[in-house]
Amino acid sequence: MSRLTRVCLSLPILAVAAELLARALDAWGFGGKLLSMGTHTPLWALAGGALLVGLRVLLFVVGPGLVAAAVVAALARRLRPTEAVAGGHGAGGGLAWRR
Amino acid sequence: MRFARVSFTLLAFVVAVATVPWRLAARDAGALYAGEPASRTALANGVAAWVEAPPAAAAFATGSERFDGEWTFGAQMMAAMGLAQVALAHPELAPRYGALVDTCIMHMLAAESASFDARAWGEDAVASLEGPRGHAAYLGYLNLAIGMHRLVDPASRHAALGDRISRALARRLEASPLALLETYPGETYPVDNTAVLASLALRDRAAHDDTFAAPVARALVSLRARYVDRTTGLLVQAVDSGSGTPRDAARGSGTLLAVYFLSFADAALSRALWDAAARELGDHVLGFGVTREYPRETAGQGDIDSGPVVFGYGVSATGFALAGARIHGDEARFRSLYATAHLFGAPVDSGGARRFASGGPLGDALLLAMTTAPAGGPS
Repeated sequence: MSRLTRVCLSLPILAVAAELLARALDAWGFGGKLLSMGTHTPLWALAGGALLVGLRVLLFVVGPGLVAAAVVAALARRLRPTEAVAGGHGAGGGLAWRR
Repeated sequence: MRFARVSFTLLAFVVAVATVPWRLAARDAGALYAGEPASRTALANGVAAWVEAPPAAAAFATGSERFDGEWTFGAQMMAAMGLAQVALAHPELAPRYGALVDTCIMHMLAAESASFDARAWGEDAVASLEGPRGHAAYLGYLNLAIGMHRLVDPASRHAALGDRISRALARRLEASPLALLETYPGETYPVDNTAVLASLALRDRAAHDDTFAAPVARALVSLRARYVDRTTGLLVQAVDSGSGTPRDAARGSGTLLAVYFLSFADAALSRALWDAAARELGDHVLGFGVTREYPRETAGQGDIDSGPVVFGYGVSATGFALAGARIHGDEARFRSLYATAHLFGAPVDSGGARRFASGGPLGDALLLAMTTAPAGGPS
């Protein structure tokens, strides 16, 4: 399993973490503090906001890109040029399914 | 071969990031734009929880007692607008949401909610209706909520108060050399005056007469001629209370909130401001819709009106733009803006209600009011 695939498989875990964090922050009245962000914003709200936004950007923006990249990388590994076979059979450099 | 493989992988990453995420985040936007009841009731139920257990001013952290009070009041006002819009669009929901709008108005009238305005003026806004002083934001926003309640419930117990407030606002507007009312002593904001004008138009609509049509029409002529920036077509954010000259730039948060308010009073001016805002401030980042707080050539800071401004894009302006997109039929922009609200708002669904973890009471109420703003303006 490639590193990229392993990263993709960790996305569902991140999704659960982001959902739990959002629920916890909502329960603590985080939204009002964050939206009115200023010098009086409590540190926990700023840290929570940064973590929540970071997780959601990773999941919703970077995540689909990673999944697409992992799929293409896996396909590319399966599609490799056939090697010239001694005796002339199957010679050439075209793509063929690796077996 | 390795180079080709890496190139294809990178290309897949870039194409996916540019095309998939915003569509994922916008997947609920179509139902909201179409006005489907299920999507609206989820948002309305999320707001209902705030109305039934209203947050204290301490729920906010603006660093200013006045602004904390403003935000508490504003959350109730926007909740009233959103809940009333849902009730008007879906009459079967009117009994429940109409009662909640009534509760919002009672919260807005409570001494604790009114204190941010009373402290600034040294008088209670409702107790001093016979006087000459502005109270544009408190009275304008309160009167808007009352007007909406009267549309939902023609027997509204707030009708008489709404008439008294409307008479006071119209008299003060007519007496003002600027055709604007002050929000606080020495502070005049055109956008707050668009709420005043919308509230007078709504009052007439609810009462089926045109008592305030003439003063509203005169004030609208003045607003268009004097407080819309000639270069950008955006609404000036603040003006000098004495001379009426701009004290701040024409900005996104004020313009786009005015687009919403003016849809109740002057559809053509609302449309003109929307077109200007879409042209001067609208933008996309990887398909996510965003709105600048200041026009491209204007430098400026974030403040209490704009909310956080990141890379020039304002949280308030982006949220308010949802209403303009819905009112003026720009579905593509509505979807992209909603995608942004979804990404950064972090919706939390529970028991048929949706709240936004990053929005809190004001954010939830604003998103309800903006996403349910009547398409084509109020009928």
